[in-house]
Amino acid sequence: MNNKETPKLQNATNKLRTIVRTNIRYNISVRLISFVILEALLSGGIVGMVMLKNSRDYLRQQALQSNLNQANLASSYASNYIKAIEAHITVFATRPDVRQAVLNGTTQQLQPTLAEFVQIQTPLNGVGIYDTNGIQLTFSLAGSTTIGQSFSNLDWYQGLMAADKPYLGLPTLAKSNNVPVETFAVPILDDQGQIRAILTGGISLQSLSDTLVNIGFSSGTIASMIDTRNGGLIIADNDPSLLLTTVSRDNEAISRLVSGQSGVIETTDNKGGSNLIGFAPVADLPWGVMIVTPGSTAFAILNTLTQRAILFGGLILLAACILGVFLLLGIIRPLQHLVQETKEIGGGNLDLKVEIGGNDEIGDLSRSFSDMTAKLKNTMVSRDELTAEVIERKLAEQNLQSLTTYQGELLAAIPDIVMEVDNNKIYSWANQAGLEFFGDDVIGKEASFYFEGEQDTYNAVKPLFSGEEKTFYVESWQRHKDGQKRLLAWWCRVLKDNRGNVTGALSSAQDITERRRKEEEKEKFTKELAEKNTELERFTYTVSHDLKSPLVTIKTFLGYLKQDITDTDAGRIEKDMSFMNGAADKMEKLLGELLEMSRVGRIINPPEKVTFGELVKEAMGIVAGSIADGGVKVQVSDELVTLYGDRSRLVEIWQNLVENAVKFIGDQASPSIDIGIERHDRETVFFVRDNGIGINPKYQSKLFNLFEKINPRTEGTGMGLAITKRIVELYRGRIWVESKGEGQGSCFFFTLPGALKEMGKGVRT
Amino acid sequence: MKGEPIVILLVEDDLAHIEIIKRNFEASRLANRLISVEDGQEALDYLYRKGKYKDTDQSPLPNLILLDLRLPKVDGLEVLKTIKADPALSSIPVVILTTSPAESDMVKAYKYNANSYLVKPVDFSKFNQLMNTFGYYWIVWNQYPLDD
Repeated sequence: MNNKETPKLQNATNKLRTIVRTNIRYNISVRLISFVILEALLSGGIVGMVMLKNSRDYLRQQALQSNLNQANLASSYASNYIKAIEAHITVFATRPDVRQAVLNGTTQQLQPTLAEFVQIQTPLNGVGIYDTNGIQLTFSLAGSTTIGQSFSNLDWYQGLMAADKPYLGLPTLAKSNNVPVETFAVPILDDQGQIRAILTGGISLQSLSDTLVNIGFSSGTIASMIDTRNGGLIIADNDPSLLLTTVSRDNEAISRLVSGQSGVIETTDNKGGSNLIGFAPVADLPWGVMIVTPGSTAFAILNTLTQRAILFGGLILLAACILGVFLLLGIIRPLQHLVQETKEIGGGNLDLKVEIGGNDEIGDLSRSFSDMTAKLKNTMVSRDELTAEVIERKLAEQNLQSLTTYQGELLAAIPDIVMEVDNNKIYSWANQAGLEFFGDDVIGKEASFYFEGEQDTYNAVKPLFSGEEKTFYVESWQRHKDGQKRLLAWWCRVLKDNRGNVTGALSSAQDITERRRKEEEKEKFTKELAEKNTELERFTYTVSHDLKSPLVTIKTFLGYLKQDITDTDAGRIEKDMSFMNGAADKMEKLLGELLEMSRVGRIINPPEKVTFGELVKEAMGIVAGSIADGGVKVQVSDELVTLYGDRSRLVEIWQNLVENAVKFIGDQASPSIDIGIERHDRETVFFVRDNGIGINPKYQSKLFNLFEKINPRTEGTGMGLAITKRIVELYRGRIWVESKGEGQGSCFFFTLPGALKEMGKGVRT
Repeated sequence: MKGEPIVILLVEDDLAHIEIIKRNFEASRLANRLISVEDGQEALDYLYRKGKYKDTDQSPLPNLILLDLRLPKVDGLEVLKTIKADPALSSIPVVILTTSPAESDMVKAYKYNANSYLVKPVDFSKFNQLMNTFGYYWIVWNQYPLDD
């Protein structure tokens, strides 16, 4: 404030300030209306721009079309112009006086007639008559110097003579008067239609140019016409100096025109201005028209429109900016301020006062906000008290950790066992199925209390108790409440409290005892089946081979017998029959034992109780004869073991083994057989030991195979031990032989668990 | 050894079959020396000159082996495998002569490089025909390298 101002001026200034302030304090409604106006202005601007663009495109198309129309107009004008000239010349060639003069050879007298014709026909600048050799006979110009000269090298002469019809020559400077012309030549015919002379009319290209320019194109427009032959020569133009010059093929319009097209293109010249070039060929002639209109002329309206549109657009934008700034200052800044304040209050600074003045709605909002802050401050104390209470309650709830009724019902409905253990692996909870399996008193007992036998279950689930969050699967034998041993499949997961500490484990379990038993049975059955299959294969193979062998013998010696009977060779007959007899015996034995073999496992005698002593005694009775023959001493253990099974089959085991021992006792000085029982690992093992020839360890594995004989010269078919093995296996036992080698004696061991344990159960033998 | 009779080792456990083979060779009057052993172990003992076969004049290395498959102690296929795996014996032709036409036997025999596989026919004249053909082929026509 300037101190030099008078109080009056100061007073006025203050007054003015008050007025301005009052007027400038628009309330928020006014501001919103302003916002709507801004919106309208912007929308209007956008609509305007779109319309401007559409208008511009339309006007542009119009300008192009107009240019093309001008080219087409010029083209049709040129076409008519030439047709008229052609007509006049053609008619002139048939005039009786002209024809007569030609026929009479008095053409030089036609000179005034020709001069008159040229005078009337302004588009022509010379007319001449030539004989059929191309020699000029007469010319429209009086005193022409070319009379008598030959024109036979000119294109119009050659063209006419070749085609035998009117011909339009190429643009050139006329030979007779040295002006740019295009010569139109027509034949002069006699009554028989024979060419007698040639009439030519030189079409003045200057006249053609004048005519073209005078059609009346808009100012600045350049019109030209070109002859498209020989690469294109200018035959009419605003600028006469360009006549007969070769056009530039580089120009797109010209190259398209030369190839017979019509159209319009926009080009930019070297001064940066744009040009419209419309072009069109002239019908029936090797000509084309080109109209070049400067862009400034063609697009005059378009440019004016654009200039105005930009001016209006700028004004609208300026108005929008002013309104925008006004809005920013009036609404957004106070609001931003308010937001800042609110944040601080939200951060806990309740002592802050929102300071936004003003008499508008934002001012009101700020004041309300300040009031609210004060009230909020008052309620804070009671809120803190409330929070403390809520936290207390939550803790109590966590401690409870109880199941809802619904969850309880859900777990009770599951057929699987569900058990919970605490960190000490003590059962802390069980569902209905769990209580039914372990008993109602399971809660509070250690999980290991229910284990059956040694188990590494705890090791398997160890990571679970250190917090590993995956499901662990274990199988373990557990004691049912009725004392039975059952196999349970367990799925275990860790339990944690809210803070992530391990509180125990939750497990579900299924009783898989039956399933496992069935699986094992199936496995055993499959294995047995495979064994039987192998045995059957061997059996079939053996039968086919071993039964065939004596058959070969019998059949062959039958053949020899026949021969020997014819030869009456008594010695040979005897021998043949002996071989046949041997083979037949062998076969009989084989068949007998095969039958026996098939009976084992098929013929069932009712099982009975019998002691070891009784069985051995019975077997010894059967083989007594051979024992006595060999002078073998037999010792039998007096152990008391009771067996239960098919008595005659059991007897057969000892019978076969003792027979076998006697057979291979060799030439022992004091042959002996020892029969008894040994205990190997709680298993009862029977044995038959001899001090005979023994068995090479190499052959021991083959020993129990069907028809297997270690010594080819011994009696029997090799089935005794195979049958013994079969009986032993029926009682789920094993049989094996031990011998240190040949001459060392041998000991057959076997077990019969099925005959020892399954009391009261029948065994198929 | 040209001019000397071909030595054939017959490995056969059935005495009747040995007799048939012997009679056939005799009837054919082809120069040969037939030596027979009755089980697989004996065959190997012979070829490796063990025990009673020590004397090389009495027990010369055969030019041809006629081998049955089902033999006591050591199986025919085992004998075959042993012969063909030994460079000293593998060049001796081994002809299997058995009653078994089982595919599995045939496949195994050829796998172990048997030179021929013959099945004993259950017919007098066919057996004779087989032995006759066999004799001409292996004794008359087949060429054996000289001993080195």
